[in-house]
Amino acid sequence: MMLKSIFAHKNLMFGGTIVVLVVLMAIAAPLLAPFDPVFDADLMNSEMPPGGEFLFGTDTNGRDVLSRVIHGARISLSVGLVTQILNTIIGVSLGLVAGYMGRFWDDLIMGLTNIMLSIPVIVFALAIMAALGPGLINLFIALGLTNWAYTCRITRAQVLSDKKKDYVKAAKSLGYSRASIMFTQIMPNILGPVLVIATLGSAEAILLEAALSFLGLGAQPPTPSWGGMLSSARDLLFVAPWLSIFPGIAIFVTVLGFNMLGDGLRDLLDPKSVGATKLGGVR
Amino acid sequence: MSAENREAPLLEVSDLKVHFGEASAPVKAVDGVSFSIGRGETLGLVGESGCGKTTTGMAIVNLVKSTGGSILFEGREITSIDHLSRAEQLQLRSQIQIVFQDPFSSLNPRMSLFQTLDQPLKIHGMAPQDRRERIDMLLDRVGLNPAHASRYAHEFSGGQRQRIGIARALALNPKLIICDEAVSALDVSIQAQIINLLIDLQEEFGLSYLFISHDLAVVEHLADRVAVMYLGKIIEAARYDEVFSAPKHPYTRALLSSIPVPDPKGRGEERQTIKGEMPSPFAPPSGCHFHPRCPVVMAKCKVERPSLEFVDEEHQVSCHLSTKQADTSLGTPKKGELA
Amino acid sequence: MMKSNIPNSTDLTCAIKVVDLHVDFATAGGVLPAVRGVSFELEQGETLAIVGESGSGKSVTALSIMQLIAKRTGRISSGEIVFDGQDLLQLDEHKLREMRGNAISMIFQEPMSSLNPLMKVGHQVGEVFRRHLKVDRAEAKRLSIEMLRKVGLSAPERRYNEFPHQISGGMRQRVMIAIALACRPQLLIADEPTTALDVTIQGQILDLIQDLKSENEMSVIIITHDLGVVAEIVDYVVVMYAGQVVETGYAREIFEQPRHPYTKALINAVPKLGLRTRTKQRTRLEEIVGTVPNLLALPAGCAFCERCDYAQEICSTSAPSMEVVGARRSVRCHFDLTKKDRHHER
Repeated sequence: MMLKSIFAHKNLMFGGTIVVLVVLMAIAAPLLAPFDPVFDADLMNSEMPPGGEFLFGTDTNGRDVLSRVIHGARISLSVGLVTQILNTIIGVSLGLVAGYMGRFWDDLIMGLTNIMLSIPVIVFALAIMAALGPGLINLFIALGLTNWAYTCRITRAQVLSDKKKDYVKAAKSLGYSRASIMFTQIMPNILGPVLVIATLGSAEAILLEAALSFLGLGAQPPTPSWGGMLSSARDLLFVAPWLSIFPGIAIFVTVLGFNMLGDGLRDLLDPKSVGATKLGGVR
Repeated sequence: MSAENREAPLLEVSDLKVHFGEASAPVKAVDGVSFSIGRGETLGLVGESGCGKTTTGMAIVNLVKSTGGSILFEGREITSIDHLSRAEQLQLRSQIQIVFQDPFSSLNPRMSLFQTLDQPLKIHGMAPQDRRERIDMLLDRVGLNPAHASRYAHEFSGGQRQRIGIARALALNPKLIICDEAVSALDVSIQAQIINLLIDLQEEFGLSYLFISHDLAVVEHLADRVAVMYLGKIIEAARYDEVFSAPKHPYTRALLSSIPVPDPKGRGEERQTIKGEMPSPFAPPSGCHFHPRCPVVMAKCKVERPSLEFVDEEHQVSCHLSTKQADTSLGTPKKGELA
Repeated sequence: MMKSNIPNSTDLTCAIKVVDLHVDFATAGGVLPAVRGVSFELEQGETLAIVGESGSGKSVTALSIMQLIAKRTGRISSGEIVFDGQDLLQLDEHKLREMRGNAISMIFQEPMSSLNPLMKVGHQVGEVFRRHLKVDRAEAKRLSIEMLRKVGLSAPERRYNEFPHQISGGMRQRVMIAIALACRPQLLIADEPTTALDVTIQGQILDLIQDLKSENEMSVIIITHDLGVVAEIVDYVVVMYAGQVVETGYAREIFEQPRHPYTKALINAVPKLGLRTRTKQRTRLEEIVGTVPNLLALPAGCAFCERCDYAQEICSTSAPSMEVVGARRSVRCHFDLTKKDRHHER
């Protein structure tokens, strides 16, 4: 049943396959990569075009681009994962408190959310990075603390509608404490939409990481990060285009994969979505 | 069942008020309601939507905060439970339970049948082995298959879901169950099953019910006493047979005569419909709230609000006509009068 | 009302005839046969009730007449719906649109969701006049106010300018009736028209439907689960169970002498108003054990077999067919309840 409906959703299938492949690539990076992404530098092989020993060519320092792209998946995925875990925990907790406690808490949290939403994430992240300094850990913090507003809003809206349902009234009358109503009763019911947002958010975070690394604020060289690779290939776009093309494709495909997976999950979790059965000859 | 226990009622509600909104212009959802329920007794609370019957029920279990009056349960003040300790609150919660109308929204979709019954028992500190035994007993009593305990709410039919709701209400061994339109959303054939189940459980566990419903035929079948509400107030209360054979308030009469009876032989008798609709509690009429729709309205009704008075040992009515003359001969409303 | 005693009355007196209607729905679990060969005839000026519980196919049957089945998931797979000498299922979308709201109208259970929340109620009535009668704005307004007055709205000039959320549920149902009856349809289909309403309002709405029916000489199909409503205003009854018609007959016959065990059980399952007060004791309600069968996995024999008090071996193996047992009276049961030789209850 479940499997059948997963196959019926093309987005889910396609996006899921991409994401699984990227994850496998990240896990098996040392096995897949023909060279070490950092230490196999040989200035004799500097800026070799794709082909032969180096399938994707080499960069200015003579490192294999293919190996660096493969290892770059680790950075991108960990950015997606870590930031979304942080965002989800913050967003869901704040949303639950705002929606369930109401009054003062609601005003406070929604005010904060609106402020977060009115400042572009990249500007916010830049400000944090400026204060903390560049680096991967700081990037996690910057992106993980700034992008929870949507999760919070969706959670709050869901809590407001679930709060009125009889099962919550029943829980109250059975003596459940406030915390257990929020976390054991209501929360499981909002994880579906939150998962969708987290998946779509991963794609956004991967793009942001690339952008911040491009600006020189993300993972520091020689760490192989897709955004960082693009950044250092900036001046060589016409001389050695493969330096930009391959990390660019990697970002594009991964982000596309996460976005399609997110859309697919949304369709799958939507109770109104129609089953797979087809009727022949509708009159 | 009703008369003997009147001295020591299980629940005693007096002058209960639930007002919403600004203190200067409150919406009086419940406005001075008093009644009591004895042990093993069923009180039917009837009225049209918006009359405050559900709010009354919710105030008793503290899901709605009351703004006035008092609620005594076994002689203990429970109007507000905020000042009670957690242990006292839990103890009280276990005594009064609710069964809801909608069998779909009343169960948590992410919890299995077992979890639905297990969690409340756990909160109330029962050991795992005892919990399992109790759950098996509950499922057996409400007619559910214990083999289905791992299923989720959406895997059950509406009638089965209502049985789950009843099992959950029974789990903590309560003395009073508030049935808020508990059979209204069910199909006719399922409704009969649930009504019979409620009667059986009452006999077995000595439960008291506050049976809130708009369906008078069901209330007549279940209730020992009946209270009729209109716009936040009780306008008539008596034993079930009194209400159904000799209703004294014009509204109760109108309510009874507007029910279509499932027997085409009675079609010749004109159905009496009352004009208009229940006014909004935002702008209640002056005097007796029912006067704009009343077929026997007098000048006095428009200015002076009647109080709920005993016209008989067990029969209370809030109407100027009934209190003036014990035996009333009220006129009948004309058919087809519309708003 | 005059009723012809000739079975299979001629098309002259026939308001609508449904013949062997089948409707399927696509679900995740497979093709669901919601309506399985429903046939009935409605005479001019008659009120017919389709009675059944949820999942019986009664609403789907009504929606099929209007052809309002969602095309994405549902399909009328076979059958005929003869109205005014033509098969509605053969009409193109343009002709259908002309017919809907004009010759055949429908009102629904939930008047709030069937009215447009952003449009003044008067305009929603007026739109019908403008579309079907091609009158101008001023004339449409005049006709709408007149129509709103006719359905019993107080101060129709004021109501004309109000939005659906500003009026009560009973008034909204009156507005729906005004919209449905604006073009004096020959047939009104009412899907649970009073289920969402309070009992005092229900009486008013039933009276209104009755009054407008005789005034406009229309025929009415009421979809309901409430036997009280049936007894009150219905002439002819079609009882449905699991997508099939199990019994038909005039209301009086159905109540006095139900022939199908399901019909009998349905009548006995509801508490009778006044019975306990009269007898001073509580008679146990007759339960119909179990639940309706899953339409995706129907039993081989009679669909009611598992819940039936009278079921015999044959019931679980062979599905009974519809037997004509009198003038416009038929039953789908191996053991007609009125037959004398069947006292072996299970």
